[in-house]
Amino acid sequence: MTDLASHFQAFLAGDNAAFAELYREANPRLSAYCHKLNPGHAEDLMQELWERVIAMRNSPSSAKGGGWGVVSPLAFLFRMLQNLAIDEHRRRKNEISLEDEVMDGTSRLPLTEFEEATEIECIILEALEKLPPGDREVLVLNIYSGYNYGEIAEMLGASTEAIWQRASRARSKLRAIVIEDAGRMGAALPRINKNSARKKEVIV
Amino acid sequence: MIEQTDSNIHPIDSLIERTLARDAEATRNRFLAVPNAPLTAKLALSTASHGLLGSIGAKLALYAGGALLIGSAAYFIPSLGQHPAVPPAMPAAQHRSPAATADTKMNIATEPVAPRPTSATQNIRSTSPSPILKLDEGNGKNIPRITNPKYEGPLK
Repeated sequence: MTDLASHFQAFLAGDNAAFAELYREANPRLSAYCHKLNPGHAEDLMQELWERVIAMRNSPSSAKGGGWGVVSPLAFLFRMLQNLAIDEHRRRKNEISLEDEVMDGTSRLPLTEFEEATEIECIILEALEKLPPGDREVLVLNIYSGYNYGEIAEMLGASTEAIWQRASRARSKLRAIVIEDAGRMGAALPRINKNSARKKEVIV
Repeated sequence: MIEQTDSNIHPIDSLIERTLARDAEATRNRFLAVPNAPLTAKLALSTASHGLLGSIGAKLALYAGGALLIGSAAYFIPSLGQHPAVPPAMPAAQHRSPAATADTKMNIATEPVAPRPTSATQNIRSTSPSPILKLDEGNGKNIPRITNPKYEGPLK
C-alpha cells in the first residue's frame, strides 16, 4: 500500500494527521493540474474536492469500513476533481454573466506564474494551451503535477506504455506549434549545434 | 531512462522543458501544502460528529444486538417461548354457568307483604347494645355498662 493509500485509509478511520499528510502530498500537485486546465477556478475546485473528501468520512460507506472501496486514492481524487471541473464548466456555461461577456478576451489570467518571461517562453506557454486536451493533460500531469507515467496511467486508467506514447506525441506537437508560432512572430529560436556529439539522458 | 543523442533532440525541446518546469514550480508554489482555515474547521467538525455518530451507533448496535439475542433465545428455546397449555381459570363468579337441575315453579304471593328492614338498616336503628359484648380492662374485670334509662336512641 502506498503512502497516499495508507494516509487515505487512516484518514477515513478518523486520523486527522493522516489528512494533513494526504493534503500536503496531493494538494499542490492536483492544484497545479487544475490551475492549468481550469485557470481561475483551481482554488474553488480544490476546496470543493477536499470538503467532499472530509464529508466521506461520515458517510455510511466509510462507517462500514469499506473505505468506499477505493483501491487507488490517487486515481480516486483525480477522477473526483475531473468530475467537479466538468460540473463547474457546465454550470458556468449555463450562467454566463454580463460581466463575463464584457471581460471576455481581456480577463485572461497571466500566462505564466514566473516573472520576466521572455518572448519565446510566452510562446511556449501559449503553445501548451493550444494542444489537444488529452495531450495537454498528460503533459500537465507529468510536468506540472510531477506524476510519473506509471502514476498517470493509474489516474487515467491506461497502461504506462500508452501514456508514454501519448506524452511523446504531445511533446512533438508542442514543439511543432512553438516552431511555427516563433517563426510567424519572428522570435529567436535556439539553433541546432551539429558539432555537439555528447549524449543526454532524459528522465522519463 | 531513455538515452537520446543530439541527433534526435531538437534544441527547442530543452528550452520547452526548462520553461515548463519553471512555470510548474511557480504554479505549485501558489498552492498551500497545509489545509486552510475553513477546511481545518470542517475537519474538526467532521471529527466531532464522527465520534458522536460512532458512540451513538455503537450504543444502538449494542442495544439492538442484546434485544435480538433475547428475542431469538425466546423464540428458539421451547421452554422460554412456549405458551401455557392450560389457560388460567377465570374467576368463579364469571365462569359459573346457570345450573338448573329441576323444574321450578314460581308462586305469586296473594297477600301483601310488609316491608322488612334489611340487615343494614337494622344495624343503624339498633339502640340496645349487644348483651354478649363485654369490655375488658385487661385485669379481668368487666367494666359495668351504664346506660341512661331515659336514653331513647339517636334522633330520627
